[in-house]
Amino acid sequence: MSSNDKETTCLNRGFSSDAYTSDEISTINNLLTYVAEIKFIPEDLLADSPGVKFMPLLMYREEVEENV
Amino acid sequence: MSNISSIHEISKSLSRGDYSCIDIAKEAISHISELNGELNAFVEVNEERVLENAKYLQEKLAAGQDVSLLHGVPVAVKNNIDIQGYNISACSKPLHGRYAASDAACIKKLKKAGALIIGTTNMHELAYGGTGDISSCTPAKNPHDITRIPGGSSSGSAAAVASKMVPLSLGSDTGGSVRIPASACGVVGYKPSINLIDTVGVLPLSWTLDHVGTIANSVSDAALGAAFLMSSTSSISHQILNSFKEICAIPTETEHQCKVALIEIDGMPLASNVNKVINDSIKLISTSNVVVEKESLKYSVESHVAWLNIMYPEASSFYVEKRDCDYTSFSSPTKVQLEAGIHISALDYLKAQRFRAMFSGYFNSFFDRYDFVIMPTLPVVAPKFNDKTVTLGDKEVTVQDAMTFANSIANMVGCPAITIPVGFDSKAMPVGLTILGPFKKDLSLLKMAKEIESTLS
Repeated sequence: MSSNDKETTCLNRGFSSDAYTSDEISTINNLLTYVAEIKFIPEDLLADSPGVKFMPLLMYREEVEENV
Repeated sequence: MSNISSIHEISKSLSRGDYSCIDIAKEAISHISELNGELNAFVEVNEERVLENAKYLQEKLAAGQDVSLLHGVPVAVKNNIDIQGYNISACSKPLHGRYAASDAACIKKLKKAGALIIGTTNMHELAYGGTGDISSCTPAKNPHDITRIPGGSSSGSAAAVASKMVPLSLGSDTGGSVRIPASACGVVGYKPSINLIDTVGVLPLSWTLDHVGTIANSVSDAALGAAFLMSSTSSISHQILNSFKEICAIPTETEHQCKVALIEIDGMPLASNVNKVINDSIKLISTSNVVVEKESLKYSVESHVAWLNIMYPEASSFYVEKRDCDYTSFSSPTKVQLEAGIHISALDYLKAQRFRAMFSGYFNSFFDRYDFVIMPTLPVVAPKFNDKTVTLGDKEVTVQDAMTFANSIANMVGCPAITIPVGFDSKAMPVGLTILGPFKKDLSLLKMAKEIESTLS
């Protein structure tokens, strides 16, 4: 990654280039590109009431309280 | 005494008076002294403290007090689980010098059961990786081949059990961190249903995905250890302890036919050596009473992406905000993951959690048609330390993705999962098989695992 590319990537991603090497910036970029695939999961596949359903932590409240 | 690899054997010899808790402690320390220089499974063993505790436990035993099956049993603990007075750094340089002020919830239970904590074990830094090759304490090695990774993140916990230094160890599991090293090192790794073991006092990686689990040389020992870590009022803990003799015994033929789904995961084919061992073991498992049918799993790539969208920001939320750590001195792979976690939006995080809800429902629907789901724990045997990628079919995959791709599913869903060793490849490297069961049906899962373990032994 050239120094120009490094600066551009950091600017676009919104973090400082100072703390990272070119390889690290490239890795961060690749990770963020991969996780951005989440945007392509269609809405109709998603649960519509996450507050109730999405976290097993909330679903299994009884066990949590019991363990405290 | 030379065999301290089995809880059952230790417990029997203590109750018969053949050995004392002090003898057992000295034996464990001697094994560690002999092997740890090469394997680096342990990062801290305080001999004086261990012998002092062993003396106290022996006094209780000699006084005829009612003791548990874990009484006097040496246990190793992953270096991210707080033990009062120990240096708990998650093998991360910025956290060196962090001494735990109190015991984690599971350690309190372990001590109450009379277990003898031997020391803390090596791990992948912050539990943030499935390989075990990143550790500020110098990485642990695989006892089957020291040129290979032990898997992670509970690398030292698995290596300590596999090399028979201790019969039981504790690990944390956010995307397979108990099961991955257990499989890579050829031992049993059990992650109970989510929240059955309290994670309070465990350095968090991801609050909604973290679990505590056990690593042992047998299904019965892994089950017993976990049962003592669960809430004393937990019905699952009682079920396991009440059925413990049953879990230890060689199972008789099951009366009803058991249906098992062998999951094939799109996007993560198996290496040919692993495929052969898995196929051979499936043939042995398949009997008139155990029917194995192949099923394909949808949404595996989406599940992996969603898992990362949950884990990354949750980890960054904890560590980046910790002003007392020098953020820049995390290792490079950890630092880049923590940076990535900062840049995942709340929208994407919530979308991942909503996907998780849908996916949990989809995955659990397998249990409407099948009693259990099985899958190879890892698509490859433990890679060499210098390998950064592995070839699977026509794909080049990072070792990290190969380790976590399938294993993170059980964390997304929260269902119980256990890996057991099912054989070796031509280079004598172990291969593991994971069995997953319905949420809170841990006892049924453990019985099934025991049945498969007995069939294959």
